[in-house]
Amino acid sequence: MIEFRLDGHSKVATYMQIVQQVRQAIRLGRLDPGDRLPTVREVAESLAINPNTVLKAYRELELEGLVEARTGSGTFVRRTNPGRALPSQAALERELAAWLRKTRAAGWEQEDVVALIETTLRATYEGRREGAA
Amino acid sequence: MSPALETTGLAKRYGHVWALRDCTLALPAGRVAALVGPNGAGKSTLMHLAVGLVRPDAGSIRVLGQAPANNIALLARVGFVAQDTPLFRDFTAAEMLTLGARLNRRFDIAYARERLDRLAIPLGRRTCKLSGGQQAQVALTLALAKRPDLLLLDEPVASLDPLARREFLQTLMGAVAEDGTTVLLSSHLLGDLERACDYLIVLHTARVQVAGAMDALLAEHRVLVGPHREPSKVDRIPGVAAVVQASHTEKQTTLLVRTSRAILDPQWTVSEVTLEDMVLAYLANSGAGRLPGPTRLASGTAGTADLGVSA
Amino acid sequence: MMWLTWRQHRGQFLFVLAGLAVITAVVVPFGLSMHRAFVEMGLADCTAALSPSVLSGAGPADPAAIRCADLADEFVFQYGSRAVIGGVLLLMIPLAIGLVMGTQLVADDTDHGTHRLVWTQGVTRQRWYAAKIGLVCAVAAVISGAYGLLGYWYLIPIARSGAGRIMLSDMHGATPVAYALFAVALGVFTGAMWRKVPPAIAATLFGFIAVRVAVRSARPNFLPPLERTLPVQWDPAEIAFGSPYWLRLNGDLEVASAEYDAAGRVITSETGMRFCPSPSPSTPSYFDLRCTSPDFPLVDYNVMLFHPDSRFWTFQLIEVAIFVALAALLIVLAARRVSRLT
Repeated sequence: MIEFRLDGHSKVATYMQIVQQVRQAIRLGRLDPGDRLPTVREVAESLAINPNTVLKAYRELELEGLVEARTGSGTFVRRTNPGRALPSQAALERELAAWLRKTRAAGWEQEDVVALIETTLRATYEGRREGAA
Repeated sequence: MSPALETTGLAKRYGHVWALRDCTLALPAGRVAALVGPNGAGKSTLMHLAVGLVRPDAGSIRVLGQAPANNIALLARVGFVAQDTPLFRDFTAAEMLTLGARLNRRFDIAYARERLDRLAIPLGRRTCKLSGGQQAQVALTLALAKRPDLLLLDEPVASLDPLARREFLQTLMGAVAEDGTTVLLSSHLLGDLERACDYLIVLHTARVQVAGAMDALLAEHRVLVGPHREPSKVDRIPGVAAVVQASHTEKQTTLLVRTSRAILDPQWTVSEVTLEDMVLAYLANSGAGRLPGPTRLASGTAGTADLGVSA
Repeated sequence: MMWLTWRQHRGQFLFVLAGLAVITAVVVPFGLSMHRAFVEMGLADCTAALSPSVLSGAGPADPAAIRCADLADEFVFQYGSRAVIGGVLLLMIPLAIGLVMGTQLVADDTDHGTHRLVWTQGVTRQRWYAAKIGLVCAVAAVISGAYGLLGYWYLIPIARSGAGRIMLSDMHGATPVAYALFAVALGVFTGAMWRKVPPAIAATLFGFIAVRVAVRSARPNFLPPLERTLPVQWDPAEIAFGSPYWLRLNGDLEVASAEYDAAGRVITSETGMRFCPSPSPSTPSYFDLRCTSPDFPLVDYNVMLFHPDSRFWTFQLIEVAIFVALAALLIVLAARRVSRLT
C-alpha cells in the first residue's frame, strides 16, 4: 500500500501533493490497476491532516480518471488505466541505473548527479521545443 | 445545515474587563476550526461559554442549535478538554474512564479502552505518572468516547513536545475522519493548525478579527510589493477590499491585503500568502479585520459568504 | 456521582479514620480504667444506694452520703486530668473532620481545574454539589455521632462523681454532631470562596474556634438562670453527696454569684460566695480566710445564679440548633458561590 509523505515547506497545497504522489506511483508502476488506496481515515491519521483534504485529493484523482471510489470498499486504482503509459519504461530504467552506477564509480556526489540531470533536462526539453518551433 | 456553533454579539465580562465583545460567528458543521489569538484574547472564554461553564453578559450563543447554559442533554453531544488538561491526579487511566462512564449518559467505554491500548497507555497507571502527551491523550479519549457532535479543545497541545503533539493531532484527525465531528481547537502553534484545520477564527483583544474557511481566506489574501506609495493612498488600489498590514521604505511599499478580485495593476508584484503570515499580520494590526462575521451561511460552499464581507 | 465523590475523597476519609484510630486508642483504655476504678472504689455502689432525697440535697446528711462525697472527691482528684485529656481529644474530632474533608470538597476541584472537567460531563453543578455535601455531611454526622456516644460513656464516672454533665457539654452527647456539621460547612464555604485548599484550612480553623468560643461564652445566657440562696455557715458534716454545697462545688453551672449583707446589699462586685464553717470540734482544714479576717465585712447570705445539671439536654438542644442553623446557612451560601464559579 502506498504511503504518503508531506513536504511542509513546499508551496504546493497538501491535497495536490497527495494527488501528485498517487500519479507518480501509478506512472512508475508502484500502484497497479486494482490496488486499493489507503482509506481517508488512515491517511488523515498518519499525516495528521484534515480528512477533507484527503477527500479533495481523492476526488481530484477520480476526476482525472485515475481512481474510482466503490461505496463500502474504498478507493481503487482503475482497471483500465487511461493515463499515459510510459513506453520502453523497463529498458530506459535499466539504462538509467547503469549510467548512475557509472557516475558513482567516477566518484560523483548525488547533488552533482542531480545538477547534471536538471540542466541537461532543461536543455533537452527546451531545445526540443525550440527545435519544434 | 445549521452551524455547530453560532454566536451573536456575544460578550463576557470579568469585573471591569471585557474578555469577549461583539463576538459574532457561525462555525459550519463538519469543520475543523482553528481558534487563534494572543493570550487573554478571549479564546478560553469563548470555549467556556460554549460548554456552559459561564453565562454571557450580552448577546447569545447557540451550540448545535441549543443554549448551552445548564443543558445536560447538550453536554452529552459536546466534548470538551479544558486548558492544561485537568485530570484527577491520583486516579488511574482506567478510573478516569469509569468516571466518564458514570457521569455521562452516552459513553463508549470499550472504544475508549481500545484507543488507550492502541496508544500503549497503561490503564492501571495513575495519571500523574503519565507523560504530558499521554495525559493529553487520556483527556482527548475521555471527550471522544462520548461520540460528540462537537469537540472543543482549549490549547490541548501547548505544553507538549513535538512528537506528542503530532500523535495528538493524529488521533484527533482519525476520530474526525471516522465520525465527522466538528472541532474547535485553540492553539498558538500555526504549523500544526494549517494541516489539520479548514476553518479559521482569529480573536484579538476580545474581538473577532477573522472568521472563515481557510482555503477561501488564503485565496483572498495576497502580498503586494510595489513602488513606494503614500500611506494614505493605499486604500484606493483597485481589487483591494482592505489593507491588513502595510510597511513602507523609501522606495518600496509592501502590503498584505484582502482582495475582492484579481489585482491586475502591473506595478504590484502579487504573491500568495502563508497562513502564518496572514495570521501574524492580523494580530499585529489589531484594527484590521473586525469582520462583522457571517451574515448567512451558504450551504456547502466555503466562499466569501463565510466572511460576511462588509464593504 | 456517588462513585466519584467517594473515589475522589477516599484518601481524606482514610486520613480522618487514621486520626480517629489514634484518638480511640487513647480514649477507650482511659475510659475503661475510669469505669473500673469507679466500681472498685465503691462509688458505683454508694451512688446507687443513695436515696433521691439525699441526692437533691433536701434531706439530712447521711453518713454514707458524706463518705460517698469523699470518695467522689478522691476519684475526681485521681482521674480528673485523664478525663480532661480524653475529653480534649474528643473535642478535636469535629474540627478535624471539617478541616480535612470539608475544605477539600469544593477547593480540591477548583484548585486543580478538575471542576471544568466534571461540570462538562453529564452532571449539573447542583447535582455535583448536592451529592458531595450529602455524602460528607452523612459521614461527618455518623462519625461525630458515634464519638458523641463514646464521649457520653467515657464521662459517666466523672459526671456521676459530681462533675456533672452540663459543664462538659462540648465533649459528648449530640453537640459534637452539630459541631462537625458546622466545621464541614465552614470548610466547604471557605473552600468555595477561596478556591484553594490552604487558605480554606486557615479560615476554617480560625472561624471554627472563634464561633465555638463565642457560643461557649454565651452559653450561660441560653436560658434565664435559677437563683439559689446559700447560707454562709455550714456544717462540714453537711458536705454530703448531692447537697447544695456539694453541688456548688460540683455539677451545676454557675452563672454569677454574690455575697449579701444583712441589709440585702451586695458586698462585693466580684463574683464570689463566702462559706464559713461554724465553730465545731471538727473544723475542716480548709476554709475561706475572709471568714476570720476583720478587714472583710460580714456576709449574711450568698446568692448564686446557676443552671442545674438537669438542664444538660436542654442546653445541648439549643447549641445543636445554633450550629446546625449556621451549617445550613453556610451550605446554602457555598451553593450559591458554586453556581457562579467559572
